[in-house]
Amino acid sequence: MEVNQQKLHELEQLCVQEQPPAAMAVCPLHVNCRDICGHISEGDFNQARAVYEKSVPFPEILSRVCEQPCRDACIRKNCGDALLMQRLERSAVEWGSVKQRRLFLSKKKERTAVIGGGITGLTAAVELGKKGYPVTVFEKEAWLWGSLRKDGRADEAILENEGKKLVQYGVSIELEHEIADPGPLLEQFDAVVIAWGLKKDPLAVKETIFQVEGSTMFAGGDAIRENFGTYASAMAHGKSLAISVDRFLKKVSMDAGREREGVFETTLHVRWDKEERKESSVPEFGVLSQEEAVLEAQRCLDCKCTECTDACAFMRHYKSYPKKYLREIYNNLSIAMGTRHANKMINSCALCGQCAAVCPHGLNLGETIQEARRIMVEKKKMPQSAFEFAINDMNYSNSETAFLSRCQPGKGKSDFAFFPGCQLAASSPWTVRLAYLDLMKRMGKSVGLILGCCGVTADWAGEQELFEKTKKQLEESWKDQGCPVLIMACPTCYDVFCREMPDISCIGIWDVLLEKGLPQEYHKTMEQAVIHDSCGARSHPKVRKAVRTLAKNMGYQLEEEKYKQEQSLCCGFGGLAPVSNPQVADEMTDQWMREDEGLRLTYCVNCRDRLVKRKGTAVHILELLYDPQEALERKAPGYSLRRDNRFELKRQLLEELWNEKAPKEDKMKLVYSQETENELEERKILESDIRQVLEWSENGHRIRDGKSGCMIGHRQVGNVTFWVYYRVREDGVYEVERAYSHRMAISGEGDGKQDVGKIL
Amino acid sequence: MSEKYYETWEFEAGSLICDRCGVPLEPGEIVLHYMGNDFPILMPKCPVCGQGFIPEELAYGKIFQVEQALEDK
Repeated sequence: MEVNQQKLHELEQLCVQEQPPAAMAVCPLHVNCRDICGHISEGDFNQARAVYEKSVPFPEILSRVCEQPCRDACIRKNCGDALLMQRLERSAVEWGSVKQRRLFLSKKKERTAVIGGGITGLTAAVELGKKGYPVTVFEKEAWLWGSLRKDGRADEAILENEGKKLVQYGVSIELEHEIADPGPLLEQFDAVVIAWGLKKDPLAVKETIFQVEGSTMFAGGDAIRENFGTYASAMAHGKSLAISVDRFLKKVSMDAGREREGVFETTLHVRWDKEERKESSVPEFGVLSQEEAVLEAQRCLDCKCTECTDACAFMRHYKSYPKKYLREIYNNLSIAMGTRHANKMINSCALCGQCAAVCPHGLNLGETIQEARRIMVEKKKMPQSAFEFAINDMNYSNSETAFLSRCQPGKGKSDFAFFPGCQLAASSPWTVRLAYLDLMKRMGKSVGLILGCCGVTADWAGEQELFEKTKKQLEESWKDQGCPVLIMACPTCYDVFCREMPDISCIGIWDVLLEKGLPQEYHKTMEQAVIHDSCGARSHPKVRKAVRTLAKNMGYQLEEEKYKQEQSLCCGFGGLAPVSNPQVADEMTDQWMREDEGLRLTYCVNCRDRLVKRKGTAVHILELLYDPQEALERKAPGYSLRRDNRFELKRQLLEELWNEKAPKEDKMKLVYSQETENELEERKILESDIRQVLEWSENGHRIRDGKSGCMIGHRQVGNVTFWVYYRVREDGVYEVERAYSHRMAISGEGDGKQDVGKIL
Repeated sequence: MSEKYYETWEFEAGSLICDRCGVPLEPGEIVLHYMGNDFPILMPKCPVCGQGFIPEELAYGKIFQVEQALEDK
């Protein structure tokens, strides 16, 4: 998928956030009922009236006589009475006032005539007047407003007052001047509007544009009907007639962009099923007092689609909605010169797919964002700092240091191979070890092992080339072991293999445990848990089902989360958000924590670690099976420990199972306070970075800080320069006081110059 | 601030000592490089071996801002 303009439009269509409320769509005049209710509910009648007047040329009249076609469409009727819009509009007109603006009318030469001084004709006349056309209204009676006068709800004073608008816009009125045949008028006027009301033979006009085919005549209101129309529609026709005449005289397209001028059905999706039922409680008759109007307006559901913004913290963080995000992404990709303001937003999404699962039209913003990241990488416009730390971590997983692919000891070929995933090995290596031992014992067939990353990190970062390389590395290992069925322990790895490496058969360790039964050593430690679905399992209902069954077999009573199954929300790890935008990642985790209460049972270790890191309680199902004590008690490991765990796991397993002694690293011993540890974690500074700095610094490149008594060392490691304040203890241990980093490379240090040459 | 340098840093004379040369750091030119751009700055520097120092507030302040701005260009 390429993010091109056509695709953008198609995607934009799926987001209904900007669509009008149902009641507004069926209003012939498209009065913005939502805004009117919004203003009235805040007691702002002036604003409410201003909104009303924007759509209604004669507000004093219509607010008294409107038939309210909106009431049938108002969503509130599903959970109470439909809003009393006419009475709210009446109260807006009664209690609100709008400052009259000074008019600057453009003067046009083309002369226009309107036949009929009823509501349609006068609306057309006043609208043409606003556009600067000289208008003459011909009315057969000695008075204006036609049937309204007989109606009586808008009295003489009101009609007279509204009639002043005609004078204001220079409309000439010829009373008692019946035009039965518009023919002669066509000679004198450039366009003629026929609004003479109901007649035996309705005039035929072209739909939407109200033009009498092949003529300079336009007709609307009851003149084109067989029965009386509503006042609201009469006024709407008047407005449309003025638009048509204007376009005709300007010789521009008669119909472009007018598809939604008339009544239509909105695509806006509004969730009302969880709304409390509220009936109208205002008196049945009379003008509403301000208090009554506020009370009535407060029943408005404020029709908006908030499915994805309610569900996702990332969506809310940038205070917008998918349609706008799509536009921002497109614009960001189109910038040739200048600042790409949306980079950070693009790089903060969890790419978890929840938006598509909750969106009534299935819009997957993450998919577009992932494609945008790929394009940014391809065009070399991806900010270097965005995902480098995560990519380095993935490269570490798949490096000689941590990657391992072996058949079961003593076997030359694997029937199965255990692929626990890089993060389970990083977070809970002992679970990986115990699970592997269990699989070897109980599968009854040869079970190999592959320790490494599935490549999702590269995929999330938009690094397509690296992703392909990683897949190749994994496929080769798989082939080397004789094409075994992979037993996955991470739902995201499972998803990646299913999608990207379809030749490789995969099952989940949860499937194996369902078939083989629980490990012998297992004992129950808890009664209840709230199951959290991993975003990796979003498209795999079988995985979600298997995990639930396994948990029940383990003796747990499961509760479901508010966002469950395919709608599950991201723990904050997805899309590498913790690396590119820790704040957004924390907001995601915090929302997850907030939505439900109780101990969460996860089957992705990242979910477990994210929640524990934010002081929530969570356990991983495999850890509960193999090492229940640790499962409940251990902290979320930091970045350095995650690396050490992977290294140690490989070393230990090689020694224990394959009898291969790997040399133990003789590392510099570092100590630091909890505060410093937190800071290092937040700044993404690894112990290995610090060691490289200290090695260099202790080799004749240190600075003494007189104030703190610390030594200061610095060194560029990869693309980052690290600075470390430290003390050397007598026992050779290094006490790290603090560390910081920057990406800018340093030169001009003379003899002190380091390996800067490499990057310059 | 000097016109020649993007950034300078006030520090107490004698507070930072180059351990190898045993001399106090003095204000001197260090050049920072990022994405094809050079930024000469005036920072504590050993007058003998040339080893320099960049304080934390500069790393997470101005330097970080400029890095981000260049990455978004």
